[in-house]
Amino acid sequence: MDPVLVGYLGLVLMLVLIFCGIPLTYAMSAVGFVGILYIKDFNFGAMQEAMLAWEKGGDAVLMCIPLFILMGQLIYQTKIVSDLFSCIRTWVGHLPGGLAVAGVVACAMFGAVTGSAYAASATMGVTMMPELLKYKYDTRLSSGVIAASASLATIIPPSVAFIVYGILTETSIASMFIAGIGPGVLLALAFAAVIVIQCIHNPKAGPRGPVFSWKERFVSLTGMLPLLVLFLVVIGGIYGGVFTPTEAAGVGVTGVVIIALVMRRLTWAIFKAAAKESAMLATSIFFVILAGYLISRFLVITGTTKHIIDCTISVGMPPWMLALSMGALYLVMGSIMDSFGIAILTFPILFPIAMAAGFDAIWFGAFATVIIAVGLITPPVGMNIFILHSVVKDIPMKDMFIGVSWFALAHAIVTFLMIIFPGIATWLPMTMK
Amino acid sequence: MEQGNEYSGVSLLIHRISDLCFKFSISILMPIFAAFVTIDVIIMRYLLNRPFTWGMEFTGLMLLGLFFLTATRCEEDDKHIRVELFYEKFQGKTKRFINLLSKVLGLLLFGPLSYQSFRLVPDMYQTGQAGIEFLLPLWPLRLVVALLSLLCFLRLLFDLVNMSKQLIKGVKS
Repeated sequence: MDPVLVGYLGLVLMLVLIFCGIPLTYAMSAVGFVGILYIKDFNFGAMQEAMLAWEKGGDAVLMCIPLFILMGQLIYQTKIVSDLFSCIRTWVGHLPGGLAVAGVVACAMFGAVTGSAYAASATMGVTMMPELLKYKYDTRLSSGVIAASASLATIIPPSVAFIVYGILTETSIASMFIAGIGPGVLLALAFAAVIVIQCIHNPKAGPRGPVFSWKERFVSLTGMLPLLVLFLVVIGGIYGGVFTPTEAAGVGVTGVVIIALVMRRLTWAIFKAAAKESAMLATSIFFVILAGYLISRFLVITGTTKHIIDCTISVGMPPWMLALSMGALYLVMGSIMDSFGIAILTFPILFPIAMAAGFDAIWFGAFATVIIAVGLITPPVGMNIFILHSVVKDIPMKDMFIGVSWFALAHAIVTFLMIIFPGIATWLPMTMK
Repeated sequence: MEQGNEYSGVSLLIHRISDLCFKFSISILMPIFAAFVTIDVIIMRYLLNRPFTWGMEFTGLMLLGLFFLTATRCEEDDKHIRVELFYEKFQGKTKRFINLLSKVLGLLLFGPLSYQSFRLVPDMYQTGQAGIEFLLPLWPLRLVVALLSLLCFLRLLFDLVNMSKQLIKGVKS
């Protein structure tokens, strides 16, 4: 059988297995291994698995995954950012829709230090929702704000999605982190704009919150100052070329441990709980990455990757249309698959196409990640909504999906702007040392 | 998926070894890993300007150990990344068949991985393969990887046998 045909059959089989619910790791690695076995032999396939596991498992680049996850887990488990929303609302809470805008900023900052959209959705759902409901904010707007803003954690550094992209495509992770800042900030502004527009249109949707004195405002800052400094050191260190992402992750973990110890919120039990979650998540990610490499090798060996690229290029699609097509594909996949799964599944195939079409590697990574993040809030999967609903059961899920729809639209507009103005993602990385 | 208290015989032994590996991983290796990166980066590199030349290599080997020590526990706790859209809708025999197929496909990862890792150990031992800067021999770690892959393979195999029995008997899991 023609090797290219074997490659395509493998791809179809892999997708069928994945959609049946077979774990990504097993579906991808089994198809990759059996495919290589068919084209070459057992020993070659087994050697590929052993070599990849050995090389990638000890790869210096991969080290930042467990460390950044541990940093996020420690912040989450010690609850040292639980005051974040209370602090920001003292500054903007008195404006129409101000509490919701404070929610966007709080979610963005929480995402910036934990890197987990799921943690942001759960934590902010518990801390923010009672406050928003207390001041009679519209339930749809409230749930929409939290679910949408929590997705910022996928984009604002340190983001695991960017690390995975960097590893799979051999793109600088440091540059990817910095590339996430522009779209992340723009999205936060877009979400704030959605709130303001909604509140102008319907003032009852976001009434004014309490007014705080300047003294109270400055005093509230002390609660989030340590984490703000930590974020600036970690991301500023990467931007300034002082740290590599792995070093920055090590510094981040140390910083969180020190802050938590000073605040007397770290115990051995909490550390173990954080280490447990981090080890399991990092291991799951490692084996999915391993499987991703295996399927990539299978597609390269069969010539399928080259065939896909040649076919795409021969169509003669203009770059903007190709970007839109890829965006549409991500949007569809995002509505039925977990964002991390999409990344592992598509980057090995779409990245070579994007490079052949002349896209910038950093821009493509940022673009893909931003649009994948939309999947966190769109039905039927919309993980952020499910998590938010699990902690705020009083609001029907239907209302949550309606509430988040305007934010999803804003998200789509920002993604579209990234196609027109690639500098949104690429400008900051270009200024790095 | 078997629950921890439902294991018996060899399956229970695999569970206990896996549990021990996991506890070692999170209570000892993870703190050492995080602390070593910090010491190497902050104290040795930035404060003393004398980083360990073997530091990154050593950390990489620790990371490899961490992944494989945790792998079987991840399998036991079903910490897999999967598309749940249709999977959650499956029930009864269909779901059990999908779970069974997952185990079979998992064997295709950990079986050859373990087999090849075992095959490479004697070569590494005979050639005295060591790290570039980290000069200790690497064959013991390769052996650990082979053994832990075997452990995961056995976990999958025992789950597969157990699930096959259930599927044949038509017993609801």
